[in-house]
Order: sequence, then C-alpha cells, then structure tokens
Amino acid sequence: MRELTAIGIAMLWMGCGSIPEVTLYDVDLTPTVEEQVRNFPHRHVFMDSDNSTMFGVKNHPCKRVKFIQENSVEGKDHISIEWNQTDSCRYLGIGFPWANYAGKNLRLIEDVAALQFHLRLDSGSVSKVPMFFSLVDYAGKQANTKINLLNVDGKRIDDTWRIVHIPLSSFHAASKGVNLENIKELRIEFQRHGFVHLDAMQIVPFLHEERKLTSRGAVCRSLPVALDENQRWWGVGGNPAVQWVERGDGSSLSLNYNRDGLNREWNGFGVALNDWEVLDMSQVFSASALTFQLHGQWAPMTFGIYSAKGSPRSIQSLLGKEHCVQTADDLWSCAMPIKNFNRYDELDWSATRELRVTMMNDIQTKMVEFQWEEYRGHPLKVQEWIERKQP
Amino acid sequence: MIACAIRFFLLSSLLLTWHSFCHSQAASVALKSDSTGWVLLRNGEEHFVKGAGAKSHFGLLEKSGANSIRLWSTNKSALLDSAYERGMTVMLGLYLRPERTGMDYNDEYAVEGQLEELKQEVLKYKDHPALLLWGIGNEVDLQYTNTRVWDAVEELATFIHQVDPNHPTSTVLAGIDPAKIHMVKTHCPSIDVLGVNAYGSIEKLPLNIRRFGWEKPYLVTEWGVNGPFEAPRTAWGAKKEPPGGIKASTRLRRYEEIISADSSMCLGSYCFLWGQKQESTATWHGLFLSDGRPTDGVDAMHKAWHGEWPEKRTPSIQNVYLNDFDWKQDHVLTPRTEVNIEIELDDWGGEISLRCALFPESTSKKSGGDFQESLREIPADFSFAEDDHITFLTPEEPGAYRVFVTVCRDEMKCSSASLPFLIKP
Repeated sequence: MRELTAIGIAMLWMGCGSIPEVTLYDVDLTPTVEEQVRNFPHRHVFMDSDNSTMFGVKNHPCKRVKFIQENSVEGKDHISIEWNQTDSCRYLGIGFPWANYAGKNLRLIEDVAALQFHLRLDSGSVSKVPMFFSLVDYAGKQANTKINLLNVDGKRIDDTWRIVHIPLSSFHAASKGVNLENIKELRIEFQRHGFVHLDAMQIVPFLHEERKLTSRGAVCRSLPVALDENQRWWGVGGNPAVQWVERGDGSSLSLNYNRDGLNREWNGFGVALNDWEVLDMSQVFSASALTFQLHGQWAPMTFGIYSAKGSPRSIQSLLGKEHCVQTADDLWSCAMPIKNFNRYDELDWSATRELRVTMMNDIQTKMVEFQWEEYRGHPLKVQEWIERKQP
Repeated sequence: MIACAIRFFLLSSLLLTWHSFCHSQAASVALKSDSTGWVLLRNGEEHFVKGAGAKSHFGLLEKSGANSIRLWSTNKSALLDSAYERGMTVMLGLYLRPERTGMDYNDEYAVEGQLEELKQEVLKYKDHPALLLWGIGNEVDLQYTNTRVWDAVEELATFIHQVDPNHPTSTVLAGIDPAKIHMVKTHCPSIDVLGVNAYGSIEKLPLNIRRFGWEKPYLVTEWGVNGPFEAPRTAWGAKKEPPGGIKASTRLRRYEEIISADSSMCLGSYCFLWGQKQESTATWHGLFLSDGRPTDGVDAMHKAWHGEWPEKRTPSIQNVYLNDFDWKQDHVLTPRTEVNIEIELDDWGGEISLRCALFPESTSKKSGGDFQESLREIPADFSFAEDDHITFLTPEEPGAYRVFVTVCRDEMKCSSASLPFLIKP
C-alpha cells in the first residue's frame, strides 16, 4: 500500500511537472476581423425593396429607377437604374439611409470592412461606370469614393453579376471631416449616362491594405546650398550664351550674351534645387541670400525663385550695383538677400523648386561660387555685409 | 463528319478573315525624323495635324480643312466613328485624374485601379481606324506637386507600346517649364510626342521647347486666344475679353507664324474649341455661339487650314465701345442710366443683324478648363439705332455685369464681343 502511494505521489509529481502553466487571462478575447464586422448590427444596406429604405427612386426623364424581380441576387428584387444627365438635371442620385435612419458607427470597422454589392450592366461591358459613392454623416458632411476596378470580381464590369467591394477606408472620411461614428446614409451619384443593376448591398469583412508612398520632396535644414555642376540646370551647355568652364578650383558659369546676336532669345538659364522635386526651404529662407562672384563684366540680371504651390508662383529681384562690391579690377562680389525679393513672404517656401536667372543686357563674365547661403545682415545694407565677409 | 469538318473550316476562315479585316483597319502611325526634322506618318503618308478639340459641327470642320479631332477621354467614344466617317483622325485622351481634383498619386490602390481601367480602354480602342495617337492625361501638371503622376503616365505609355505598335503616345502639359520637360524626359521615356496646351505662352513655345531641352516632336494640343487666366482685369477683377475680330486675327497669326512655321519639331495642332463652353464668359474660347452658330473664328481657321478665306465671310467685330470707351477700359456706371454701345465692324456683305444680352459677371474660380456653370441672362431693354448704335438702361442693382453684342450675317455666322461693367450707386 505504501509502495502504491509512493508511486502515485511520484506520478502526480511528474505529471504536474509536465502540465504547462495556464493563466486565466491567456485566452485572446480580441474579436477577429470577421467577428468585428459580423457583430456590426447594421450590415444590410439594401437587400430588396421590402426590407430596405431608399430615396431618389422617383422617375423623371433623366433617371429611371425600377425594382426588378427577375435575376436578383438577394431577396425578392433588385434595383435597376438608367440615367442620362442633361443640363436640366444636374444632380442624379439615390440614397440609402439604411437601418431606418439610425446613426451608424462605422469607425471601429473602417479598416476591416467594405461595402459589398452586386453590379451588372444592362448590356455591354465598360471599364468604369460614372457612379460615385458617398457616406453622409448627420452634420451633412460627405466623403466620396468610386469603384476601383481592382476590387471588382474579374476586374470587369459587364452584363453578368459582379461582386464589387468598396473598402470603407477608401472613403477617407477623417480627412474630409466626416464623422464615421454617426453616419446617416449612403448615397450614389450618377453622372453622364448609364444603365446598371444593383443588388445585395451590405457591409462585409474586408482587409484593405493602404499602400501609401512617401513624398519625394526634401527639407533644407541648413545652408549653404552650392549651385554648381552637381545640380540639374537648364539653358546651360545647349545654350551658346551660357556654358560651364573649368577653373583651377572648380567650374564656373561662363555668361556670354549679346542682345543683338543670333541667340538673343537664349537669355535665361536655371537650376533645380532638388532634382526638380520640391525643396522645403521654409526653415531657412528668411535669413538667406544668393551669393556669387562675377569675374569680368558686371551687368544687371533678374533672379527668380519658383515654387510649385501657392500664389505667387515666383518672385523676382533685379541685381543692382547695390548688391555688389567691386573687390578688384573685373571682380565683383555680390549678394541678393531673399528679403529683397518682391513678395518674398507670400511665396510658398515649402515647395521651392527652381532658381532662374535672366540676363537683361549684353554681358561677358564668369559667375563663380554661386550658392544659397546664410545672410545675417540688413537687407538694404548688402555691401556692408559683403565687406564684413571679405578676408 | 466531313460536312462538319468543312463547316468548321469555313467558319474558321470566316473568323480569320474578319479578324484580319478588323486589324487591317487600324491605321499604322509612325514618327520619322531626318535632317529637316520630325514628321508624323499615317499609313506611310505625312499627316500634319490640322485639328480641333471638337465634339460636334463635324461637317463644317471637314469643310474648313481640318483632318483630325482631339478627344480628352474615352467617354464619348462614338465620336471616333463620327471622325472616321468624315475621314478624320483622332487624338484619343486617356483621362488620368489630376492631383488638383483630389487624386493622390502616393495612393497605390487608387493609382493602380485607375491604370487598370485605362488599360482596358486602350485594348478597346487601339484598333479603331480613326485613332492617330494616344493622349495620356491632360494637364496633370497643373497645380500639381506630386511628381509620381509621371510614373503613372509612363506605365500607361509602356503598356500601349506593348499592345499597340501602331500608334504613338503623348502626354499633354498645361504649358511648359524646365521642370515639366525634365520630368517627362526622365520619368516617361515611352512618351513619343509631347502635347502642349498653350494660350498666351504659345508665342514663345517653339523657343522654350528647345531652351528647356525637349528633343522629340511636339503637338500644340490646345491653343487659341489668350485664356481668361491670362487676361487683363478690371479694378473689380472682371476679365477683359477681346472682341471676336481681334480673337480671329490672333488665331490666324498664331497658326501661320508659330504652328506651321515650326516644321522641324511641331507635328501640328488642335485648336480650342470647336464648339462652345463657359469659361469666364460664354464666348471666350468657343468658335461657336451657345446656339450653335459659327463665329468669325471659324473663318480664321478655314484660312489657316485651306490657305484661303471662305466664300461668304462672317462679319467681324474689331472693337466695341461703351460710352466712347473701348473694351480695354474699366467701365464704372451708375444704376438706371442710359448708356451707348458702339461697335467697329468688318462687314463682308449679307444681311447684318445685331443682338445684345446682359449677364451677371462670372464668379467662377475654376481652373484648367474645369467645368463652369452657364450663367442666366438678365432681362434688359436694348434699343438699336440704324447706325449700329445701341442704347440700354443700366441695372438698378449694384454689382458686376457683362454685356454681350452679337452681329450675324444672314442670321447664320456671327461675331461677338463682351464688355464687363460695374454698377456703383
């Protein structure tokens, strides 16, 4: 008996050792995507005319809405709508204040659900139907989207029933100020002309992967920016008036322009600040200047800075003698503070794209050490600043 | 069994013949360059594009000497057939949604869906016998910042080259600058022809094409008179529209001195617009009035394409005056005051009739040719004297208005002018 008890205790001991520890809270109670959507109480948007609420079903010459029993997917009938937009009927649409006008909270399922419906044409095939879908909240704000062929069964729209999914996230409700927690209705707006059949509209589980690329723009956080051969230029090289020339300490722009010459219209050149993408210079522009030396003649030139956004799109400033100091024979040191440019404070510096130079008069000179650098001086006392900088 | 085999053979032959027939209908369009420059060859023959952005009035278009139309999208594909029936070719647009309408070219889902749609359109229309070339996107560069749109253009152009060796590809810019030329050159190597919409900027287009480094041929895909966005404005912001006669002569000069003069790189053009649309005014760009009657601009295009004027020329308003001040001036008037309108007219015979209409000034802020609502005419009493003097009573309500004068020959062909004015109490 004692032996049996010992064996029992030993087995119990060994058995306990092999049983994994389980806590009460290890069970994952998070609902699956399926469950989240299946638990949504207002899934059915339109199943048939008896069990759905709709508006915009009144017929007129621009739009004919019918409920047809033959060849329906769900319930006793489906919607057939034919439209032809003319000047007399600018807005053509139907609406579904589903769940009897209840305020629907789609926020929790926005990323895991889609509006699903069956769609077919009356005849033929198309790659797009001019119909647009809007979620409207109780404040009257609406977010729109349209059918994306990637989410159409077989990537075709023709005269057979095709299942279409419109991911709820593709409405981008938040960015349009729509309160997804209190959605009143779904609207479908029609444009131009068409004839489609719709059926079985409901909210279903759907994983839509948002694939957003990042912007190609860049941010300029510090100066100087060298405006040299490493940047992208236009009007240089192919332009007989402007060429790169090698010097002992790098290259410089040779400007050789004659207003009466054969190439009198080739008086401009420019440089892309970020490979023709936008460059955000909003952190640095206000205390900066374009600086360069002229080896040869001095002549007035117009400098323009171009932005990809906003108004004005460009600002200009004319190089005057007050921007330069003559440091030796045929040698000028120049600076053009950005604050000297007209309307510099109105330009959208977050999308700066190009710097452009226009030669106004005949000129034979070399433009050396062209750069965009920090400028800590009075914008109207440029020569003092240049002289302070001289070694 | 034998009968069945014969039936199968006959049916196969029939299908093969039909297939060959369909494909033989697609014109072969190619680009050729030699020491003199670029030419567009259609079925081996040079095809300098004498075209118009047109959706109607094809009979008059053909009679005026045009050989091509431009469609901005495949939405009105029946017009391909209409063009073909008249022996005209089509630059067919593939509508890429511009960024300014809310399209996000960083959103791969939206971009890929759009491309999928357009690829299906390419497959649908690539063998249409009227097709001349593809226009991938129209003014997608207008007010844009996301250069990824060019990747979408290139993907479509590459696809077209894979499935349709018969037609060149183009993309259409809203004017050019060095940045846009760089983008198309580097991101869209499969683009064969650059399309440029140029209004005021057409004056320097051939120069800038070269200065900014474009090396392939180009088409002027929209051109005409300076657009409302380029027009001088009154102190209250109304755009000053040149009279019909000035617009017609501007069109003719631009065609002769710029478009047809650049024979080495320019493959032709599509004038804007062979029809009517509201863009700031109802008469700015259209070569037709809203009731469908042709204007003196149509005569100018006839001269441009045929080299000679039509037999019966349209009267042409050269200047219009409000109380002795012409269309270039600001007109500020008081309510309920009688004012005079006078016109300077080139009259080419026929029975001349005169009509005036009053409208509120447009307040639309739309750009890029986007749709603008037509305005409603305001009832007004105009009195017409025999010497072409017109008088009317200004409105009582202060605000910005515009008066339109239309002169027609035999009620068939017309010229128009508009004058903005401000009513101040």
